[in-house]
Amino acid sequence: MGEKFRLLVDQELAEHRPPPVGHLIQTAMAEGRRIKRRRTVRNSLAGAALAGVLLVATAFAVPVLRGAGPPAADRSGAGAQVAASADPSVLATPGVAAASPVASRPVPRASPSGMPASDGTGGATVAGTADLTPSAALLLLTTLLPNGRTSNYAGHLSSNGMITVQTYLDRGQGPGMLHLTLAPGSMSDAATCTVGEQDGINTTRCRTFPDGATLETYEITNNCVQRYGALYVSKDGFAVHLNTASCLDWDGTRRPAGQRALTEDEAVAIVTDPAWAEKVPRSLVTDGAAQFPSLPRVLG
Amino acid sequence: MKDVEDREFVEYAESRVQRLRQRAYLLCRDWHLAQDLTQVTLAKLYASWRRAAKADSIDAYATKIMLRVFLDHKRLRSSQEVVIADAAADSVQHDAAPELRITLLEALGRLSPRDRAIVVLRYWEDHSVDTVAEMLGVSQGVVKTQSMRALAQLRVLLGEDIGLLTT
Repeated sequence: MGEKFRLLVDQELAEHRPPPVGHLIQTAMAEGRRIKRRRTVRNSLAGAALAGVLLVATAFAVPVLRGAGPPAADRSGAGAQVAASADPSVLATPGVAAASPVASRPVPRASPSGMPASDGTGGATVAGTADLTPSAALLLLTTLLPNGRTSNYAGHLSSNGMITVQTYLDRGQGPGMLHLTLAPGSMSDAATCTVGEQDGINTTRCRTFPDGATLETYEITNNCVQRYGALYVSKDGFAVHLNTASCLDWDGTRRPAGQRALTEDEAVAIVTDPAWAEKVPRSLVTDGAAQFPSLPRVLG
Repeated sequence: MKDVEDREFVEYAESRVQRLRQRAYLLCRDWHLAQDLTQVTLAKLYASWRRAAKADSIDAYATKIMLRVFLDHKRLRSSQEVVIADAAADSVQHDAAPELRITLLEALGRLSPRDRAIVVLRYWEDHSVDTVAEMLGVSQGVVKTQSMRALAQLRVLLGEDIGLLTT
């Protein structure tokens, strides 16, 4: 039947007048470049994770567990990190915050360490905005998290402008690790996202917002640090990337299993929160610096 | 190096774009959707061009991309698809006058997305059961079963014109 079927289909197709091809190929190439850029960002994060593992493996030639305090020479500010890790606190904030415009967003009511932070008027007393910092990003993240005990804070600013922060979240079932990366202007516009498995990444959700921002959630079975990912790219190309790990931080010999700290919906609510921006209220930066004066580097 | 790859890609895309668009149309049954599907397919192919160029067949690579995009798109809208397909199938009059009969392309459009893809790949593009199974990521048995089911449905939809498919 093949030949006859083909003939009939071709005859019917010949009667159609399809729209002109136009710039289809050029547009496809531009879109393809955007896909590659998105992939590059994702790979750079995975690369950072791997580099972290290698760094730790090297550092553990001097066997020091992170929880017990790494040598100060290796990581500046480690002492503060150890203190924070050893004395986790319960966040007093409610569940995952709803959309919260930067201008009206309440400053965190309680700090992860339990110390008094801002009274919510910090933005008024310290006017203006400032560049987002790792400590401010960590403070904002912990504010957006559902109720639970946070610990094991870390964060750093990469030379390429990317901010990465880490926290554990224990919602009563044991700790789970979260990594958040903020990549200012890394992607100039939206890229194609397709639900399904490709290259070992199972994309579970794709959405393009009316303003051109995009959201993608995915799972990577064989990467416990990036086990569940949520990536939001604003219309300006500002990427907010949250990884919900299925393992904990490197303990010197392995990555112990951890709880999944956030559901997909909770992760989406966090990455799409409008408070994330390159410029944030100065009060958030000052509060962040007060809460997390020094953070060890995220090791992936 | 990048320029060379771009030239290779453009050369390939220009030589295949019409055929890709026709296939996309057979899958979508809408020229504008077909245009979009072709564009997304080429974009993904471009993004993976180095790998695609090393594959045994770039055409097979591109086909896989198109099928995945098409079937994912359909899966997301599966609830609407079913309603439309059922309504269309119910409206067919088997004893209708020849001028009222549906065309082969219309009949094709009333198959489920996966069945349509299998029929297009098997009978329009003349791929073997093995190849279609590999492209769709299913077993050969599934391809055979769905081929038979799709043909049976086409016979129902086309009525007397089925002779055109069997001879």
